[in-house]
Amino acid sequence: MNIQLNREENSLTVVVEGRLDTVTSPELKTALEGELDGVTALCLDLSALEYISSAGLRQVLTLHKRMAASGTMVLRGVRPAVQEVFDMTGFADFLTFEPSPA
Amino acid sequence: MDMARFLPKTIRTKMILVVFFIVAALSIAVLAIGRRVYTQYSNLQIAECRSLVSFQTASLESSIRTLQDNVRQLALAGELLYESGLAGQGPPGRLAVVRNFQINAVAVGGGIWYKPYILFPERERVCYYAFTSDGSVFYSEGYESAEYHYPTQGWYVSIQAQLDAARGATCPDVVWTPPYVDDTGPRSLMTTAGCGIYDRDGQFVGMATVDWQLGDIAAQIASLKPTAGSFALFADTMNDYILAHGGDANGEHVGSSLTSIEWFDLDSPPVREIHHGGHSFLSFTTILENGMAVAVNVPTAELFREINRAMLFTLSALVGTVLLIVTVTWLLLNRFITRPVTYLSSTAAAIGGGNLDAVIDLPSGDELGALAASFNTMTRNLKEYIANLGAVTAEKERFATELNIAHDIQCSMLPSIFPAFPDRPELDLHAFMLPAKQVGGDFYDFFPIDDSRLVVVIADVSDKGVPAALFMVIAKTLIRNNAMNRTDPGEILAASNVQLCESNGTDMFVTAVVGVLDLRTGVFTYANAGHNPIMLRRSGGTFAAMPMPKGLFLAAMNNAVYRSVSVVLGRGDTLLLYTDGVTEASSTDGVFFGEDRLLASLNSQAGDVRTLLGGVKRDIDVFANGADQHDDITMLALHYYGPGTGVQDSENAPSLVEVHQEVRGGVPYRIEHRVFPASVACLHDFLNFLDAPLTEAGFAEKQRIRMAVAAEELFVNIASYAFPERPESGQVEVRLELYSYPDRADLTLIDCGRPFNPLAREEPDIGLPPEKRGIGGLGVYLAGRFSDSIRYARKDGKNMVSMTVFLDTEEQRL
Repeated sequence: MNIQLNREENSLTVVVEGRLDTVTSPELKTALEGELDGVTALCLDLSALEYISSAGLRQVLTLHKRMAASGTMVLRGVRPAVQEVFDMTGFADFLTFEPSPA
Repeated sequence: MDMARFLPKTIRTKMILVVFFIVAALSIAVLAIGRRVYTQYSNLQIAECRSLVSFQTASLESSIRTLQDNVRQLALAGELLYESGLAGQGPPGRLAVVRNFQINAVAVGGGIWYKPYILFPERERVCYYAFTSDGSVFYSEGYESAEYHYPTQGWYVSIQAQLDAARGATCPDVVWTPPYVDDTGPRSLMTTAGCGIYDRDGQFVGMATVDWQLGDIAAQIASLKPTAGSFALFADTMNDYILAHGGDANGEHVGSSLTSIEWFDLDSPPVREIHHGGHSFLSFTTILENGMAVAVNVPTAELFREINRAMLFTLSALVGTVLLIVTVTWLLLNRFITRPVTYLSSTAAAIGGGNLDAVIDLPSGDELGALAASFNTMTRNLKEYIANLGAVTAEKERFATELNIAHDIQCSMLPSIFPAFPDRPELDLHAFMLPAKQVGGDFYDFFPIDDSRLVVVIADVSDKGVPAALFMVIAKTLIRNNAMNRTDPGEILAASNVQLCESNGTDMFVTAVVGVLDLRTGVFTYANAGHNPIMLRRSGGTFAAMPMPKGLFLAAMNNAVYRSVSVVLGRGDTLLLYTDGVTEASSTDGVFFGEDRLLASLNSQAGDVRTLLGGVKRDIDVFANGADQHDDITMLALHYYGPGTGVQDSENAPSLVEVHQEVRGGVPYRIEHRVFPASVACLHDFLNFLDAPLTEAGFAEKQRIRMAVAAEELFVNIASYAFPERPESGQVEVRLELYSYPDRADLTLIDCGRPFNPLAREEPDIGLPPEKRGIGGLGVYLAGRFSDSIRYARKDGKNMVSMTVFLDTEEQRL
C-alpha cells in the first residue's frame, strides 16, 4: 500500500493506493497521526484503491467521526468494486463521494 | 496309527476277546505254578531213585569191606599158625577156617593156602578150606589131590601175581581176582579176595582167600528197577568185566576198557542224563572200593510219566475250561447282547428306511430295553411329526405359489418397458429390481408430470418379503400421487412421509430419493430421505457420489423436513440411483460389494444405460460368486442427452440464479489446498493464494474482491480469536474447490482452535449512524453478504467455516 499526503493549508488530500485491509489499515492510521490537526477539509483519494475490507472501513469510520466534529471529508474516485463494499455495509448512506477529476 | 482298524467290528467279538484275554492271563498263572510243581516233583522222583540205588550199593560196599576184613583175619590166622609151627598140624588150621566161617557169613568159601613146599620139603601142598552150602559149613582138605592142584589155579596165580606186584606198597593188602567160574563149586560166577601170609622176615609163605559168589549179587543188582524199563549195569571196571546187564546176570569179559564208555566214566557226576538207543535215561552210577561199578539207568519217559501225565491232564483241563468259558460267554452274549442289538439295529434301519410302523419288541429290563423304549417313542413322535410336516409343507407350497403371484404383481407394478420414452430424444433411462425373496421391498419409479418434467424415484423398504412388498406398494402409490400435485421433491417426500406415518402400523420405514428432471434445462432437483447417494457422471468424466441433502427416512416422524437441492445436468451426463442391495451384496466370504467397487464397476462400463446396468449386475454376480442374495438389488440409470429441439421453453424454466442458490456439492474439477499460520501477517499470502485460481476460473474482478473481503474476515477472525492462548502455534487449513455446472467456488477454512462460531455474532444494524456503530460484527456481516452461502460446523475438535460463491455470469458479461 502506498500513502501520499498533500497538505494545502487547511485541506489535506490523502492518496491511498493498493489495498486497505487488516494488515495495511494500521499503516494509514500511523501515517495520519498528527497530520489532521487544523485540517478542515479532508479528501481521501481512493481512485487507486483496489480493495477494502472491514478493517479499512473501520479506519474510514474513525476518520469520518474525527472530521464530523471539525470539518468535512469526501471520498474521491471510488472504484465500483470498493463502492460496492461501502454500499453493502450502509457506509454509503453517511459518507460523501465525489468522482475523480477528469 | 489307526488302532480302530485292528479292532473287531462287533460288540460280541470285542467282549469275547476281553474274556479270552482274562482267561489266558489266568491260564498263564496256572501254568507258571504248574511248572514249579512239576520241577519239584521231578526232583523228588530223581531223589527217590538215587536213594534206592544208594541203598543197594551201600550194602555191596559193606559186603566188600566185610570180605576184606575177613580175608585179613584169615591171613593173620595163617601167619600165626605158620609162626607157631602149627601150620602143618591139621586141626588148628582146620579150626581157623571153619571158625572163620562161623563168624563171617558173607563169603561162600575161605581158606589158607601155604606156598608149595614151604612147610614140608616132601609135601608140596598144605591148605585149609571151608565153605558154606545151604547155611552149613563144610570143611575140605582134599585139595592135596592131584586133580585139584591149587598153586596152578587161575585165582592163585592171579592173587600171587597181584601180591608180588604190590610188594613194597603198603596198600592194597587185599587183592581181588577177576571174576571166574569155579569148576569145583556150583559153577557160578565168583571172585576171590586174597591177602598175603608172610613170615617174620617178610617172606611170602602163603595166602588167605575168601570167595564171593557174584551170581546172586549180580542178579540182585540186575533186578534193581525203579521203573519197568530201567536196567542196571554191574561191572568190574578193574578187569573190564560186565557182571550183570539188565536182567542177564551172567558175566562176560569185554575187550575194551569199561571206564571209556559213558556209563562208567569215572569223571562224570553220579547222576546224569544219557541218550542211548534213541531213549533218554537218567543214569545213577556208583564206583565201589574194589573197582566194581553199578549203573542204574532209568528211562526219563518212565520216570516222569506220571507227572507228565498229570501235567497233560492239567493242561487239557485248562484249555477245556478256557474253551468252555469262551463258549459260554459267546452264548450268553448272543442271548443277551448280540441278538437284541442286531434286532434293535435292523429294526432301527427299517425305521430309518421309512417304516414308521415298525415297533421294537424288547421287554428286557436292561439298558437295551430302555433304548428300545426310546426308539419306540422316537418313532411315534417322528410319525406324528411327519404327519404334521406333510400338512405344513402343503401349506407352504400354497403359500409359495401365492408369493410367486405376488412377485408377478409386484413386477408388473414397476414400469418395465424399455426404452421408456422412445419419443423423447433428451434422455435414455433404464432400471431393474431383483428381489432377494419372492417379493421385495425395493422399488423404482419414473413418470412424467408434464411435458418437460420427469420424476424418478428409488426407494427401499426396511424389510423383505410380503410385509415389505405391501408397504412398498403404499409408498410407491403415495409418492406418485404426491408428485402429481407438487413439483418440489422435498415437498413430495414430506407429504408422502406424513401419509406413510399415518398408515405405518408396524415399525417399517422407507429410504427414498426423489428427483425431478427438467428436460429443457437439465436442472435436476432432488431430495433425500436417508437413501444412498446418487452417482453422477459428467460427460466425459467418471461417476462420483453427489452430495445429498440430509433427511430422515420416511414413515418415522411425521414432522420431518426434506430439503431439495439442484444440479444442472449437461449434455451427456448420466445419473445412477441405486439401493443398498447393490453396495451390500456380499461375497461368499461376507465381504460387501461396497461403494468403491460400485464406482469402479460403473466407470469400467461403456455404452448406453441398459448396458451400464447390465455390466454392473454382472460384476455384482461375479463378486457374489454364488453367495445368497440377502437384499433386493435395484438400480435406475438416466442418461441426459441435453434439451431437444422444439421442447425448450425458456419461459417456464426456473431462473438459473434460483437454482444456484440451492446447489451444494458435486465433484470439484480443481482443488487448492494449503495450510497457513493463523496470523494476520499471512493475510496477503492467503488472499493471493485464492486469487489466481478464481481468476483462472473466470471470476470477474468485482466478484473476486467480494470473495476476498469475505475470506479476509473469516481468516482474520480465526487469527484473532481461535488461538487466544498460543497465537503463534495456530494454523489454518484452507481448501478451495472449484466446480462447474454451475460454476462455483467453495472455500473452507479449518482450524483446531477453541470452539468459535463467527456466524453466531449479531448482525450489525447498518442503518445506525456511524457514531453509534460498534465495529465488531461488521466483518462477519460482510462475509455473509459477499458469499452465496456460509456455514459453520464444529467437527472432530475443529472449527470448519465454509462459504460458496457462484460465478456471476451477468457480472462476467459486464
